[in-house]
Parts: sequence; structure tokens; C-alpha cells
Amino acid sequence: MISIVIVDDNFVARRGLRSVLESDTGIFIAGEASNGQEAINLCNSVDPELVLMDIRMPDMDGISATQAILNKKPETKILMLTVIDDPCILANAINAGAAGYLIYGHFSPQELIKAVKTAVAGKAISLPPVDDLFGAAQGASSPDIDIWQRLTQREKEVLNLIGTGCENREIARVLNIEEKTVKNHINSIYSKLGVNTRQEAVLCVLRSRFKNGKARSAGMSG
Amino acid sequence: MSGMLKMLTKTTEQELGESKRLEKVLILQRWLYVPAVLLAGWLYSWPSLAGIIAIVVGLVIVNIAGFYANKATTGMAAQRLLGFFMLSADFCAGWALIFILEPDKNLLFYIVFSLIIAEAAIRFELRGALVMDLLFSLGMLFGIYLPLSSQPGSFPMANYLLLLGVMSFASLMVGMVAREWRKQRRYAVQLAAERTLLLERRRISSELHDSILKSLQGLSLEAYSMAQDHSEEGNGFSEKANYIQEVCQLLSRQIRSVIMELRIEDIMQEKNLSAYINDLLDAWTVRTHIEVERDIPDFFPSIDPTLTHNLHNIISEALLNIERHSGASKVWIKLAIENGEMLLELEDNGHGFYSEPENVYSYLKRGSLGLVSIKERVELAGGSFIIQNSPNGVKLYIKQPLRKM
Repeated sequence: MISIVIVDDNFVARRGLRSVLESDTGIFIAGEASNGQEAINLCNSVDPELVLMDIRMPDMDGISATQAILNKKPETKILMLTVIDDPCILANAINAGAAGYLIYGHFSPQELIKAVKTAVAGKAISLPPVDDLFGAAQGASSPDIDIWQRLTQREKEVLNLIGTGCENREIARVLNIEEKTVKNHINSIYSKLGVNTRQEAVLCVLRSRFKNGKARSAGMSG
Repeated sequence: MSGMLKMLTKTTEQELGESKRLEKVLILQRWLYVPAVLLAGWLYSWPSLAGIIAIVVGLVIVNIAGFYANKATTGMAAQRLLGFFMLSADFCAGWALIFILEPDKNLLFYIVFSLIIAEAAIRFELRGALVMDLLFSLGMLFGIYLPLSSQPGSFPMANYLLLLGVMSFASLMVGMVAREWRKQRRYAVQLAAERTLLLERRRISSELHDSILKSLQGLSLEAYSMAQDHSEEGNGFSEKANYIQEVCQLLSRQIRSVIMELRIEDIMQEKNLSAYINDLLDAWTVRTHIEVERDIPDFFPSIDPTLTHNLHNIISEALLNIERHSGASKVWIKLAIENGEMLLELEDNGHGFYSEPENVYSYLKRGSLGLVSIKERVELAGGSFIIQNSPNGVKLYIKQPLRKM
């Protein structure tokens, strides 16, 4: 039996998810939470195998909750289940350690059940796939060479922060470097990844994450 | 829609409020005329005590009446009428003063003239300044060179022309500044309204996205599970549940498309202007089968969302116009940034307008609102709009300054 915790501030969504998931005999709903803090408390007490986590919620968002849960129990699988289709936010969630994402309206109930089982088996989930969601044309990425090998450690840090939606000034402050240096790093990242915009760079990252069927939660750091 | 109406009403209210405040300042300033007129009377040894008193009393009455009228007016038309009466009163008082205090004391004339011309320029901009300049120059001419004066011709013509020139120049400047100031105020109000609208759209789209869309998805999952649970009963329950699920999915798609429209500025910013315009043109070509030849750079620097929104609307409007009226089979579009301006050229190979219109507003009479709307959009954003008509098609040139918010 796979034990699952559903975290969503929308009652109707939680109920719908529960109905579908409970229809599968191999799944057991261990509990429901309506915000990040409740999710952390619930996971501490019921220790689920998998958490279906919404991103935007009152009090504490799903990304912060994901970090907190994985800090305590790194073996927990967390799937982001959301209506948000912003690549930066999704990249941020993956950075926080999520095993993948599912976007409402892009999966069937059967696919949901399958995704849950696949994630528990240790594979990455991207529903819909990055290219389907954002268009294959945006941001080139060579399928043969691992993107990460092309970037320096500093560039990875910069890209990491771009993925969290930081502006150049903030990146400079966090990494304690000049804003001009940040710009240079960004230009270098763009040319190495063959992209023109921040969004395309983040998409490149997301693509590489899901390419091998395994979410690389710590991928950006190396 | 109610928000939009509220904003429009607010704009008119703001305009009225500004006119009232201006009137209040002019009324306050008019009180200074009372001691000034008395001082002038004393300096000129009271040539007509009764006349001076009459002017002072007249000014006081006009000012008090103006004060209450300014409070009472509720519309822009009444406010403008009040302004016109107050200016006329000042004009009459000015002339009365000049005639009473001997027409040869030219310095005084010019002081009085300057004040009243400045007032006209502030109230009615360039037009007000020009009319007052004319009235005073004619009046002076009669006053100094015709027998109305006690010593006709005592003031040299050269001085008269010089002073008149300086005064006209100064008043035209005041008029131009007043006009520019009003224009900028209107523009600022418009910009603020657009920003409010943008924020409101974001709020609505986020609400639709997070709350309604998700509830529909939850309901859809619920319906699916109901259909599964009752699939073997054969009483039609399962079909009904499936139907509900399908409707939920359809509504979700519709809501997503509404969200896309509401977030058009954000999408254009994120997506890169070129990609967005290309998508717009692609969709139009698919729908109308009219080929579009493009000269659009692959990448634009990030552009003010109001400008992108404006540009999107202009292009959509122009394409709709071509589709409806031109009979064209091909369109050429060029988009570029040069010297801090966005240039848009749009040409079609249609039949053009059947007769040469005198100005863009004559299109309005023919029922073509599109071009007028384009012209107004462009000009409101401080840009320019040129249209070339020929039997082989119409060419639009649009220039719009890039601005940062």
C-alpha cells in the first residue's frame, strides 16, 4: 500500500484527488493538509511515502514545505500538483527536491495513479513533458551532452538563482559579487546553452532534469 | 466592466477637480488686484475716484460670486463657462482701469495686459493667449494712436511693437506650457488607469487560475471516480458522471483561454515580443488565408507592458481592417526599434480606399472605427501615424516612443 498525503488549500481539489486515488486498491490516503505548515506537521506524524503538494497556498507555500519535509525525511517522494505552469516556479520546486510535477488539466485520472506509483518507484514525473508545456522551440538543448558539464560552478549558482526568479541585483547580493559580473555569467550561460532569455535558460534546465527519467533534485549544484 | 466605468468617471471627476482648484487659485490671486488697483489710483492721484471704487467693488462682487459658483458647478461645461465669465470680467476691469488712469501711462497697460493674457493662456492655452493678444494689441492701437487718447501718438510706434512682440511671445510660451502640462496630466491619468487595469487583470486571472480552475479540476476528478464506481450499474449514472467530467474539462480550457487574454501583457513580456507578434500573425493567416511577409527582429529588449499592449491592439486592429475592407491577398509587416522609437510599417495589396479621405476622422463617417482607434492609440502614447492610400493598397507608418514605467 502506498501511503499518500494530499496538500492543497482547495477543498474540492483535495476531495477529487482523494476519490480518484482511493479507487486504486494499492493506494491509501494517510491524510490531507490545506497549507505548508499543516503538511509538515502531518508528514511528521503519519510519515507518508508520497506527498501530492500544491505550490501556491496561504501561510506557507508548497516549495518551502517541500524543503522542510525533505530536510527531515529525505526518502519521502514529493510531487508538485498545481495549476501553475511557470517554468521558474517549477524549476524552483525541483530545486527544493520535488520528484516531479503534475499540472492540472494535463493528465487523466489514470495517469495520476500511474504517476504516483512511478514516483514511489524512484522515477521523475513531468506531466505534461517540458516541451509539450512550453513548446520545443524555446531554448536549444543538445540531447547528447549533459548541460551541466558545460557550466562552471559559479554559472550553476547563478542559473540556480535565476530559476528562483532572482533579479541580477539580488543574485549579486546573494553571491557577494558585482552586478556586472553577474551579467557576464548570464551571457556566458546563454551562449553555452544556446538561449536568449532567462525563461529559455530555466526551460533548458528543466528539460535536462527530466531527460533521463530521473529528477535531479541537486542537479544544479553539480 | 464596472471597474472600467469607475475609472472613466474618476478621470472626468479628476479633470473637474483640477479645473476647480485652478479657478480657486485665480480667485485668490484676484483678491490681490483690489489693493493693486487702489495703489494705482493713489499713484495716479485719483483721476476718477468713482471709477476706481466701481472697479474695486466690481472685482469684489465678481470674486465672491465666482467663489460660490466654483463650489456649485458639477460639470466640465459649467466649469468652462465660469472660467470664460471670470476671464471676461478681468478683461473688462483691465480696460476700465486703463481708460480711467489715462491711456498714456503705457507701463501700467502692459502690466494689466500681461496679467490678463497670462490668465487667458492658463485657462484656454494657446488659443486663449492668441485671442487676448489680438484684443489688447487692437485696443492699444486705438487707445494710443486714435483720438481716444488725450495725447494721441505720444507713445512711439517702435516701443508699442516691441512691447507687443515681447508680450505675445511670453503669452504664447505660457499657453504652450499650459497645453503641454494638461496633455501630460491626461497622459499620466491614462497611464495610471492602464496600470490599474493591468493589476486588476492580474488579480482576476490569478483568482480564476488558483481557485476556479482548480475547483473545476477537482470536480472533474470526482466525476471520473463516480463514473468508475457506477460503471457496471447500467442505469445511465456513469454516463452522466462522464458528461460532468467532460464539461468540467471544457470549462477549464475556456477559463485557461480567458486567463491567457487577461495576461496578455505578461505573456508578451515573458514570451518575447517577436514571438508574440509572429503567433498573432500566424493565427491570422490561418484564419484569413492572407499571406504575411514579415520583417521582425528575432529579439526585442524588454518593452513597457503598456506599449506592448498598445502595439498588440494596433496590429490586431489593422489586420482586422485589412481583412474586412481591403480585399488584399498579401500583407507586409515591418517592426523595428530605431532611436528609441518603435517603428511599425504595415502594407497590404488591396484596393485601397475608394476615395481619398481628407483626414483620418472622415473614415469614421464611413463606419471604419479601426483606423481612428489606431490613430488615437498611437497619439495617446505620444507617437505619430501616417497613412498612404493608393489603388494598389494602403500603407501605414506608425512611430511610438519606447518608454519605461
